[in-house]
Parts: sequence; C-alpha cells; structure tokens
Amino acid sequence: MFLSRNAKESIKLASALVIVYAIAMGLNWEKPFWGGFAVIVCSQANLGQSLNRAILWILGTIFALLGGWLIVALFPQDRWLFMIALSLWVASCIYFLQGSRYQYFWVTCGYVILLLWDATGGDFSISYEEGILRVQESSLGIIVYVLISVLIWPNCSREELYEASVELLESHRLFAISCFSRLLNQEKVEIRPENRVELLKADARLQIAIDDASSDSYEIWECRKQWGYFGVCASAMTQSLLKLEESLGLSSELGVPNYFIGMKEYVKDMEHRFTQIKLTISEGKLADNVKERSVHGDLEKIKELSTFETAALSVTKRSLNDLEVDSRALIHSVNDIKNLGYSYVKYLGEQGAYWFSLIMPDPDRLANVVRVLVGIWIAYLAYLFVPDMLGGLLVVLLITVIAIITTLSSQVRLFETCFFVILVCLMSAPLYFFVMPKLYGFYSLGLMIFIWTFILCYFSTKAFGAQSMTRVLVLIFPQIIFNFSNYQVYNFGVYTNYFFMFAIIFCILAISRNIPFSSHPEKNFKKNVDRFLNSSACLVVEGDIPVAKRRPIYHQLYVLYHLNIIMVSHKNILYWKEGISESRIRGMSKEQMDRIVDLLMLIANQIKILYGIDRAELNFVAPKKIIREAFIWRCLARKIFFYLSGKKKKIDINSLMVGYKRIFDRADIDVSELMELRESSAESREGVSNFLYFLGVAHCINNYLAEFFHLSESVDWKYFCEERFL
Amino acid sequence: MEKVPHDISFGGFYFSPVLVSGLLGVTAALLTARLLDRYRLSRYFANPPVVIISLSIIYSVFIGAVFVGI
Repeated sequence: MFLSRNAKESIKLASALVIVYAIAMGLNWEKPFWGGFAVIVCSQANLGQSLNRAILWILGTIFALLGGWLIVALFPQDRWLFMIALSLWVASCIYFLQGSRYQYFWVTCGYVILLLWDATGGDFSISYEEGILRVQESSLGIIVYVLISVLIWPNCSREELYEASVELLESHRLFAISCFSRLLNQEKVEIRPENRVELLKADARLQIAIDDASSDSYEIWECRKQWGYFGVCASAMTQSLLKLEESLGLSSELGVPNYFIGMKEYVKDMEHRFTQIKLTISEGKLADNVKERSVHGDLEKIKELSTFETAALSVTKRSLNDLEVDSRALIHSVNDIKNLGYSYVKYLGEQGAYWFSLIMPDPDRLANVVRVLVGIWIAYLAYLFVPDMLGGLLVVLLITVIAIITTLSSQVRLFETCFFVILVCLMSAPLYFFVMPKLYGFYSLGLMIFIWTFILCYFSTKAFGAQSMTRVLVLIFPQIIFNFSNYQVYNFGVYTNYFFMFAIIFCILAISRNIPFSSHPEKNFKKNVDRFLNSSACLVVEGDIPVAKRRPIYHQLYVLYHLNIIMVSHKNILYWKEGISESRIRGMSKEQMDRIVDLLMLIANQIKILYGIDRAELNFVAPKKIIREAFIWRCLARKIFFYLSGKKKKIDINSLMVGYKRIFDRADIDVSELMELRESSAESREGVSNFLYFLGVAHCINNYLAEFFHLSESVDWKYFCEERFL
Repeated sequence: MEKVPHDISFGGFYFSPVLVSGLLGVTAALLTARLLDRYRLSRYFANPPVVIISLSIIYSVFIGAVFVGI
C-alpha cells in the first residue's frame, strides 16, 4: 500500500503521542501533557530537523531551569523585582532568537521559565521537583519521538543534502557559463532576476540541508566541519556570481576579452573547475588542485578607452578575480569532504560577522521584544489586579508562547490563527464530552488519541506546511483542553472558560502587537525599505569624512549600526514580504514589489563594496579636481537616498545623473594625469586602481538608484501601507 | 424590552448566555470589519485590532442586552 510522506509522518506523530501518554500515565507522572508538547514541537519535516529541535529543546529547558532558579534565589520576596528580572530574561531570549542559528534554543529558554512558574502557581518558588519533572517528561517525549522517527520510515536528510549540493553546483555552473558566453560574445548582459532568485533559493536549500544532515546522518556528522565550510564557500561563490553578473552589466558590450590577457583560457579553466566541483560531489572523484590565476588588463589597449570604460573594466576584473579565489576555496572544500581535510580552519577566524549581526541593535528585533513584553505585562497586571481572572497564570504563559512564535514568522496572522485554534477546540468538544467519559481504559483512550492526532496532523500539514507555527499551535491547543491524566475530570465550565481565555489571550496580543508600532507587514516592509535607504545615505558619504572625525568611538558605532542595517535589511525585507498576501497587495503589483526587493539587494551589494573601498588603507589616488567631483556625486547620491527614505524634500534624479556625468567628464580631461599617478609608485597604482573601482561602483549605484527612483515614484506607497482590519 | 437572563439550550446542552452573545458579537464585529475594509474606511483608524476588540465588546453587550438576555 502506498502512503504519502504526510500520512507516514502523521502516523509517526500519532504513535509517539500515544506511547508518551501511556508511559507517563503508567508511571503516574503528574503532567503527561509536557511529554506530548515535546513530541508535537519536535515533529518536523525530516529526521535531522526533529533531532536538532530535540537537542535545542533539552538544552533550552536546562538553561531556562538554571536561569529560573537564579532569579528565584535573587528575588524571592519581591514580586516586582522578580517580574522585572523575568522580563529581562525573556527580552534577551527574544532578541537573540531573531538573529541566531539556534532559534529554538532561545524560544525554549524564553518560555520554559514561565511554564515552570505557572506550574508552581506563581508563588515565586520554581521548585526543584517541578523543574526535574519538566526535564524528565520533555526527555521522554523527545526520546520516544526520535526512536520512532529513526525506526519507522526514517526520513534522513543525507540524500537531500547531496541533491541540494548538486543542484546548487549545477546552478553555479550554468549561471557562470551563461555569464561567460555573453562576455565572450560581447552581448549586452542584462540582470535576470528569476535566475538570481533560483540561485539564492538553491543556496538557502543547501544551508538547511547541511544543518539537517549533520544531525541525522553519521557520515555527515563525522565531517560536519568540512560540510559547513563547503556551505560557506558555496555561499561566497553564489555572491561572487551575482556580483559578476552585475559588473558585466557595465562592461560586456566593450568586448572584455580584447582588454584582458588570456581571457579565453580563464573562461575555459573556470568552466573546467565548475564541472570538477560538481563531479566531486556527485561521483566522488577528487578535483585536481588548481593554481592561482588572476586576470590582467592589457594596459596599452586600456589606455585608449574613456575613464568610464576603464572603470567598468576595473569592476569586472575584480569580480573575475574574486570568482577565481572563491572557486579555489570551493575546490579545497569539496576535496576536504572526501579526504577529511582541514581547510576549514582558515574559515574559523572569519565568523565575526555572525556575532556582529547577533549583537548589534536592530530596530525590528527591538520592536518585537517590546511587543512580547507588553503582552506579558498586560497579562501579569490583569492576573494581579483582576479578581478571579479566567486562566490566571496560564494566560501569561500562553501569551508568551504565542508572542514568541509570532516573532519567528510574519506569516502568523493573529485572527487566522485564533480562528483555526477555536475551530479545532470546537471540533474537539464532542470527543471531550461524549467519547472520553465512556472510555474504559488506556487502550481505548490511546486509540482515540491516535485517530484524533492523525487526522489533525494530516490536514494541518496539508493546509499550513510541516514547519508552520500555526500547525504547532493547532496541534497543541486541544492537548491543553483534553489535559489527559490519570485523574481525568470533565467539566463543562472549564471547557467554556477555555474559550473565554483564548479570547482574552488574542485580545491582549492584538493590543500588544501594535506597540511600539504596527506589526502590519506592508507598513513594516516600507519601514525597512526606508531604514535601508537612510543607512545607505549615511554610508555613501563615509569615504569623504576626514580621518580625524572617523576616530571617535561614537562615530565608529554609528557606522557599524548603519552597516549592520545594510547587511540585515534584505533579510528583514524578505521576512515582512512573506507576510504580505499576494492577493491583497494594493498600490503596486507583485512584480513591482519583487523588483523593489531585487534592486535593494543590488544596491546593498554595491554599498557594501563602496564601504570596503572606503575602508581600504589607501583608498583613492586621483587628481584633486576628480576627487572633488566624486565628493559632489556622493552628496547628491546621499540626497537622493534621503529623499527616497522620506526624509528630504523632493529632489530631481537628473541632478544625480549630471553629478555622475561630471566625474567622468572631469576624469576624461585629467586621464593623462591619472595614468601618470598610476605609474609613479606601487602604492599609487593601488590607489588609482581603487579609484577606478569606485567609479565603476558609482556607476552601478547610479543605475540602480535611477531605476529604483522611477519605480518608487510609480508606486502608491500610501495605499500600499494603508491599515486594514483583517 | 429587556430580556430575562437565562441559559440557552442547543440539543439539550445549556450554554451560558454570555458565551452565545459573545460569539454573535465577535461574528458581527468581523462582518463590520470586513465591510470597513471593503470600502477603505479602515485607514481612518490608528489601531484596527483594538477597534475589532471594542466592536466585539459593544456588539456582545448590545446583543446580550437586547436579544439574548445577560
């Protein structure tokens, strides 16, 4: 009999739940629900994801327990200090979870402390027994689910990892071949957004597959560092290819092979490298070691070109050289996987960027922290000052859980989630009132749990997807209502009270979700676009700020803050874009929205490169008059960025074009002086090369900014951001 | 005319009148919200979720007092 993957996973989840309840009730444990909770949370799309969650769940629980005991020990007699300490704990967990690779660890840390507090009745005594019981039951749930996942229809990610790797490497190869063929044939290279999106999707798929397969496959675990390094190199290659395409947009029509020496050999070598890399992963053949190769310009021919053309070639040359470096690193990384080599050691020193983005303040993350804290405090104050409040501390706990979950995904819509949760609770009513009281033993109860869970899991996975948060909530809430135990009570009042409690929870969340500002995806999308443009405006003039002014720590922090915004903005914009329903976009078309996101990514890449040039020890060497024109261009670009971010009055985009043209006109006049400077010393050579690179980057920014300007003017942002009820 | 508070029977089950008026109130509020969205009137409200909650309470009290009896 053929069973779909969804049916198999639903059977596994239902069986695990039945076994967990059987063991917990057989041992007469007090809260079997905790075990069931662990099973539901751990059930993921594949074994690797489930194992990852299980490990993070246990670690998070233990960490939260220690934190809870510490807070209780510090503030045993003062409820306000206790609550403030608890809020700080939850706030830091929420802040870190949004930028962390181990999100589930922070999620568990955030709410387990409240779960234990709730279990002891909020009397400031998170007791040792409750904590241990919680760990015990969670471990039971995890062990049972993991055993079932491993033994019954295991869904390992090893194959998925190989497929994802081969798919990405093939995408790299095809993307590179398409760039090279257009380059050699001197065709105009136009940026193809759909190919870029495919490449980025394949890249994201590989990163997830590496994490999953490292957990569920022994062979992959053994060389997880090598695979991790391969993931980093593959991502770097993806970025290099995207930049190459951008740079070819400037220079492809010039006839690049005419100006670079040995271009055909370079292309041939690179194509060979891409093929070899793919074969190493797909067929296990070791790739040949390759020698360093760099592209050099034919100076005599380049001298005949205008400054603009020279700048375009300069950008292309750097992109080609970067691609070569990344391809070598990728070859080493794939060979390492086969040989268990150690090239990844070089990479270990480059992980600062991850920690940098984790710690730097991000307004979106801070807003989410405030939202969760407002929800917790409203619920807590209501619990303290409203006599006999429905649900009591359970309201505080559930608000924390749902609020934390909603920070993970903008797709969790409050009213939709509320509707499905209430629908499922209503569906569970006949079981609770008519079936459960008639059951005569655990066998019949087990059968009921199995059938109910199977049906719910099957349909919720179909409707929301295996990794959806709504699916988890829909599976968990009926468990709260059923509250299976050896001393089962059936109370109509309790059941209806749950409905009122859910209503209270969703009311509080509806209020807290709009503090400090709206969580409307369209509004936040626009807010992030504006923030990105504002940061771009600040960074684009950074190179012209005198060194003395750059030294103070506050200036460095200011620059780092904006740099972080540029680095995370694309991720943030995509996060909010996911929450915008395609059928409900107003004020712009879906294609326009996609193009805006693409352009922002292109601008972000160029701003990062510009920042890199500005940070170079010897950034520019050029005649003073050209430097002055470059300064004027930067100021104009800044004004345009500010205008687009809504901070300045209207400005004519043509002024930017004029400013940009003036640099090149001036450079054309002073070209001989520029070339003389280049020849004077090795340092000057680097400085002039940097300046030419800057000109190329300025050209890219100019083009993207002009397109973005026209696009932004044609879009009705006000209508797009309009508030809606549902 | 004010209704006398009493339980509502559905198939032999007696429900609290607050539950019934609450459900009807929420349904009416959601319908109103839908209409306000349809005619682009939602833009005049600073915090739409709070408006829905307020409407739900207003409708629930009104339906409870006039039709159900709470």
